[in-house]
Amino acid sequence: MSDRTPTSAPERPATPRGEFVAGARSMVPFLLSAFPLGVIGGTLGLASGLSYLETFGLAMVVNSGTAQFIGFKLIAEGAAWPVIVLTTLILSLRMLIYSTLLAPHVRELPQRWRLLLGFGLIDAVFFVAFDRMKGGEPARRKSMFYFGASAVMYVNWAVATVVGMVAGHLLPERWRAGLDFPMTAVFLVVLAGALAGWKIWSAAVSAGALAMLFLGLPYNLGLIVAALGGACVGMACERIERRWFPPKPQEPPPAEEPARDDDPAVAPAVDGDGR
Amino acid sequence: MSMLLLILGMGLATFAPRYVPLLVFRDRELPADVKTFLGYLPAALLAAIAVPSVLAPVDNRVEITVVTIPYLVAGLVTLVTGLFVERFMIVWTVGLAVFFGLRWWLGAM
Repeated sequence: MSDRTPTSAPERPATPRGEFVAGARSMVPFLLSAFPLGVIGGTLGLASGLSYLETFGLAMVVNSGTAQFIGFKLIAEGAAWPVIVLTTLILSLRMLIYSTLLAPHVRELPQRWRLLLGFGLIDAVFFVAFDRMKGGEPARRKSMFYFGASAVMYVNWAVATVVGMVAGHLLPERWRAGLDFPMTAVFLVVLAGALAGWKIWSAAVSAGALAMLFLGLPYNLGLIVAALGGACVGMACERIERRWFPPKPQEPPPAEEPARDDDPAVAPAVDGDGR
Repeated sequence: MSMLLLILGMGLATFAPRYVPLLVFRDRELPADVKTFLGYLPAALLAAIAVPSVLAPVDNRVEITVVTIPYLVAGLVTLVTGLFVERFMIVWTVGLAVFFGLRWWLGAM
């Protein structure tokens, strides 16, 4: 158990309820930054032509901010449903990394618990709760910390979505036209946050160029081709770096250390505010 | 009805990568190459979505008109601001201000 964990303070709670509350409290900084994003999501859902129930339902079912935004955009563009689902899947594939790291620490838990752990897995929860899940405490107890963290993020997002829908309802009709840019701006801000280092820049620039090249493909398929192509370029850059600029011996290799900020595999910036 | 199915499909697509390893992998870790590839996917996907929305906002065509200029300029401003400013809301608001300001100024509102 490392000292960086918020709950390693002397008055560390021992009851399941105390663990749950501690997990929830560890999320406070993320709650504040996720809330406005949730509000924007609620507003843009309506602007994309979804009903209140559909907007709220989508937000609550996918439990992933970026996936939700991409869904809104593609639905508004009238993309084919397999493309929308596939795009969501591609975006969510990074969760495989978190999930495989988490798996050995929760294997003795009952199936229902693991279902919930999986559903509640978002970037912010992983970054804060994973240290705790690695520790030697009983799996059930440390899971309560995790559940507290993911539950409070979920409720926060639900409230923010409702606030956003109310705000969107109040927005004059004239302002709703041209509301595709606010969505694009969301993607640009999140992308800008992830652009650190030449490798991820290369991946993003290639993906953008490929997307322009394949703009004519039907069903927005160019999007998927471009995303996969861009990631391949990123991987190639990683290879080039390893081959020509091997890391100095005292530095740990990137793939071994899950919590490094500069490792794109786990860069928290990719999902903006921990969503 | 089809919207309900779409939402459920998206839900499954976001849930499966989170849950399946908890169900089956147990002790194995992902190969380093797979991890690297997955790490680059989100940024690549975001770029693949955002770049055409900025460069070809109308009918997927690249052109310079009073309608497309706000997209080009505000898109660039948003990205560049985002490289230097960390707060999401500040960057997003700056981008929107530029976009709607230009639209109003160019008379395309």
